[in-house]
Amino acid sequence: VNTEPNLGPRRVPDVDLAIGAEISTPELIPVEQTATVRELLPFEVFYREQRMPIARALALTLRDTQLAAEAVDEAMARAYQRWHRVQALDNPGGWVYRVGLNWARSILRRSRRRPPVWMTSGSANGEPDAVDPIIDRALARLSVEQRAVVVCRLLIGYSEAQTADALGLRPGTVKSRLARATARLQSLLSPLDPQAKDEFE
Amino acid sequence: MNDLTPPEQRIAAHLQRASQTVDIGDTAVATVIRRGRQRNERRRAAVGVAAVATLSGATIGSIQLLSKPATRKVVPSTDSDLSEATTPAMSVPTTTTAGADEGLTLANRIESQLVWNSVDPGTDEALGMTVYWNPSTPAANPPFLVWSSAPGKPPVDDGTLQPTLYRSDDGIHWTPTDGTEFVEPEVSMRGLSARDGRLFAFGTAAATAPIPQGKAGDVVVDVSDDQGASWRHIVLPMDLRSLADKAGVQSIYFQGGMAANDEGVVAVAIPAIAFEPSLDARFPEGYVPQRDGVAPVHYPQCVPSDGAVPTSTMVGTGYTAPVQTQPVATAVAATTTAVGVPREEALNSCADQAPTLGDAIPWSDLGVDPQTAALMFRPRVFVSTDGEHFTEGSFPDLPDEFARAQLTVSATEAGFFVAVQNWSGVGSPLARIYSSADGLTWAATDLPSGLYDAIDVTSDGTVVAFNSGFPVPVVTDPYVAVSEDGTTWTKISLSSLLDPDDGPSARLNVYLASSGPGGVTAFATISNGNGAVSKSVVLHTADGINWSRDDVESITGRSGLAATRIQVTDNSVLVSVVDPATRDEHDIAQTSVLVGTPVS
Repeated sequence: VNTEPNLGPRRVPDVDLAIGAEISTPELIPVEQTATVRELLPFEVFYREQRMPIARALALTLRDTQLAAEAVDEAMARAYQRWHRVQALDNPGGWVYRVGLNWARSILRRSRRRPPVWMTSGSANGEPDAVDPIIDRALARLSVEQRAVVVCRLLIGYSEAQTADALGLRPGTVKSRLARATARLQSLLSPLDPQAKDEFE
Repeated sequence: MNDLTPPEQRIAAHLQRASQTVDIGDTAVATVIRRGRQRNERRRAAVGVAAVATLSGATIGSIQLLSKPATRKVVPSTDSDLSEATTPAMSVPTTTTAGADEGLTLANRIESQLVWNSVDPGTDEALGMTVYWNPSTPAANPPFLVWSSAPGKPPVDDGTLQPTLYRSDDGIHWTPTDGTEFVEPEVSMRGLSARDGRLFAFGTAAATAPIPQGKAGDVVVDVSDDQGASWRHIVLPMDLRSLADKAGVQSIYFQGGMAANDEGVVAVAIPAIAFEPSLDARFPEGYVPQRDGVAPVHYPQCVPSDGAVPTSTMVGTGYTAPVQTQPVATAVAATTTAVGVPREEALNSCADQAPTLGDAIPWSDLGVDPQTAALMFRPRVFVSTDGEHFTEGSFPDLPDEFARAQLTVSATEAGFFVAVQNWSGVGSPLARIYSSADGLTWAATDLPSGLYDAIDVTSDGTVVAFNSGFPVPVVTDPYVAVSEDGTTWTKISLSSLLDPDDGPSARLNVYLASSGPGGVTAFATISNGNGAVSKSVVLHTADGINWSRDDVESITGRSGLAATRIQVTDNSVLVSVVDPATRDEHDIAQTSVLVGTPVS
């Protein structure tokens, strides 16, 4: 539920983003506990495979493509910085997503920077590659916490447990946030799903 | 994702499709590795701010390095091939057509009266890109001012941007000022204006004392008489410092802006308060702050639980509301409904039911001083006619419906204006304009209910408000609401500005607009039925009814440009745009300025 003023493309929840958490790094599991059970993953391979999906997930969460690009690079740099431990996590991508999200929210809070208008209007990083404005505005109706859950579960495809782990939430919280967000999105996206309504009648 | 419900699968498909169109751009893995190594080195060496300079190229902001030589080209108006059927030149529309939504009048399309120059700034024609959202309407008269990140000024260690003020007398030649006073965080971001050769900036600053960690500074108007080379603080009597120390207050900032006209300079500010513990945590389902307390948002739930459906569940650190129950809908069973609908779908079937507001929980019950909370509804206005001395005017308290509303301040020859909008998600979105001739006393005018992307007031006092047509409750054509008197409103559909080759399901999305003596100019994208954007256009009107359209690709020869700022003067229109596809060696997008002048 987005309780902030929802005023169209340029108006992104202010307090929601401005009072984000400080930059935080999810607690790392000591490498000794898990590294032996999995083959070590070269950072370059991880980067090549994960950067774009995480960046896109952040773009939809933050509703700011350029900030998402900056966030994923910052988070990837931090991942490299401690790669020997990050790679041992069950879900290194979730760790990067969370670090990037926290970093971006902190930047927004500190700089009072609003997502650039052209990023939030549906024309994300250049008009031909823009996010569908209807989807973007529907996402804008959610809080950033709800968007994060929606993106992790429905876009990245994390399980409830993985989403909970990535976002530092309890599985029950993931479930409830997803249910509410889904209900909200279903209504807002109904113009794109003219057949959906019939399924319930 | 096999465990997803059908509604979730549909949403997932939409998200997947939308995300595939997002081009983040590539960053070489070597760059990120180098950055990671630099982080390690910096941490080990405990090098402070200086080390961050090495990271600047890839970190914050849309820094535009001004390295390219200037180029100009002039292209004719793009509307020369308009069909007669769509351009009844200058005739006032009086009919509502089948092409428009009920109650909307079609905009009258006219040929563009503007000739456009596209300027790619070079080192001596420099426009840094605006990186701060500035809720003030840009000045209509030179000098033009813009905050920018700037080459050679990397973010400091915590990511705080160091802004540079750029100025221009013609919109083409931009030069950075040397305002080194603006390296502090949070300083003077909220407004820029100029009057009688004097520059003004508005915001917060450590004017009287350092800003404690996590606390607030002083509200200031900064004044420069040497074109931005040096600035002095005028501290306004708005004590955010003590407010930040109040019980239950986590942090303080403010909304507002500044604008100037021939009558004077007006600065409007309203505190925004983040509470501790946060209201988000206390009211996870949502809430609406009101003067008397916080009203929780209730969403209808259709899933039964042990014979009763909770209609209100609030968990968190500070407050737990009593759970109310209502009889179970007999059609809904534990795992499926009586008609076999899975419970998840039954839950989602409630999505079209509107949320409601519960009774407000008093601020005092939440550990917050009610007088402190009331300040969120009390805008403060400060006026100066000489640019030196500011007097506080009388601004009406905002009603509950405008809690944490966004304020946009503007000034024209007709007076000063503050546009306020809000929508909590409950009820109808509201918009209002406060107007004043002298900045001291203000009167309110309500706009028709709707979500407006931009609200502008022309120099003759006509209000022009852009509505995206986003669903409340259904999608409509985008339209502008125009009123000369604040009482009678005309809603004008912009769908007549679409061309046949835009596609049968094309949709116009206005997302940036500004007014000035020459009229109102808007930047819009045109998307197809799937939401993909096909082109960008500049729309212009002198009266809100007759509109011209210029295709940006025809002006610049490039596609995918996006606007960052529009300024309208009496004899020109300036639109600054960025080209995400053209980047420098630091991956910074190119900024250009489109300068439109009337056909002679």
